[in-house]
Amino acid sequence: MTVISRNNIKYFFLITVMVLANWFAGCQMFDSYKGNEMPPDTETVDFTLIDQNGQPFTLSDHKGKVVLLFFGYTYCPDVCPMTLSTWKRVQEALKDRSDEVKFVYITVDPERDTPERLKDHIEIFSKEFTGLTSSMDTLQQVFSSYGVYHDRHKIPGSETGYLMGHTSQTFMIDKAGNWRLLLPYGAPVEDLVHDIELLLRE
Amino acid sequence: MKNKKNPYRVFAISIILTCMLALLNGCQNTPSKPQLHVENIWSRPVEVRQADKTATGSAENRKRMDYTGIVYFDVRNAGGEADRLIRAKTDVCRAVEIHETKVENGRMSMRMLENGMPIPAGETVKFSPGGHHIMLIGVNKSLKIGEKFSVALEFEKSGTVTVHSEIREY
Repeated sequence: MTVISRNNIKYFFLITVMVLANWFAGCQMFDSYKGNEMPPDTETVDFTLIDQNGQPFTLSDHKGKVVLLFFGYTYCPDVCPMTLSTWKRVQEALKDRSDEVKFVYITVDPERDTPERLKDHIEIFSKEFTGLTSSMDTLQQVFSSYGVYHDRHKIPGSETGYLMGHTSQTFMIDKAGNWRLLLPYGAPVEDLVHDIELLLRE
Repeated sequence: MKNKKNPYRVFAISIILTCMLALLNGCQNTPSKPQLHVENIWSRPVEVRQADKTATGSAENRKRMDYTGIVYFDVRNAGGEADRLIRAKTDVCRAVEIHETKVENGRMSMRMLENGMPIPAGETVKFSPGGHHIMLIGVNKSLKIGEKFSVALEFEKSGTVTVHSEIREY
């Protein structure tokens, strides 16, 4: 009887260990990113632009934080402010951990978007967000490095001055400074929070 | 030979009459006119810098530096006939246009709906982020959270419907 019960305990431990191992493996396996992952060899090109306070902003200075990039313009009434509004909710959801995240909005329209104009617009949403501009030449290098599309055009018969078609995703850069994810426009707050938390855990 | 007291005949006639009445009633409940209900009207805050507003230069240059805003809402057409939103007006800006945003393959573009927006009978048309919207061009004062402003929506058949848009973040 004693032999059998010892064996039982052994089996019990063995099974428990196996179940736990499976459970951990499962967590790792199924907790994948909501955004689209970039290939591992994707190059992250460093850049220096001017922030909304007229100060230089260099991407590589923010290693150790997760960086979100969005390319938009303040004249845009719909998609760009919607993204900033989503970011604000992400920032609120992250609470204290939002200190470990940099939210960076880069203009595709430097002709309109002076640092002052960016400041007014971005700070409607959060004073912690960063708005970047520069000369079109300098910005163009950033656009090329990140495959950012932008197209200046006029609508015939419209009172709008000119409009910019542009890339609408949110780019996510990890703490090591590697460009890792692309999240589509309209991705829910929960998806962004989820992916940021995964990157912060690394 | 006719049987005038056939109870089935009376029964059948009363059923037919009831059906006809129900049909008539149904017609009355769905008028042939459009019947619009504008709901959930909101706008985003806009910060207008005074220096830019009074900027000198050509009209083209002033246009270029305009501030823009937005109005979102739902239009429910409970009536039996389609209508169309043809234009909108408000005091808070220089011009108002009906636009549509398209996001395709990760790229955003906007187009103007020159012929307005159809509001089919029995349907709800949503003007919402990333889709159709009323674009405010040349906003002339800061629009602060919690404030409201009036917008006149002009429909082809229903005429002008004045609504109040609430300024909020989302």
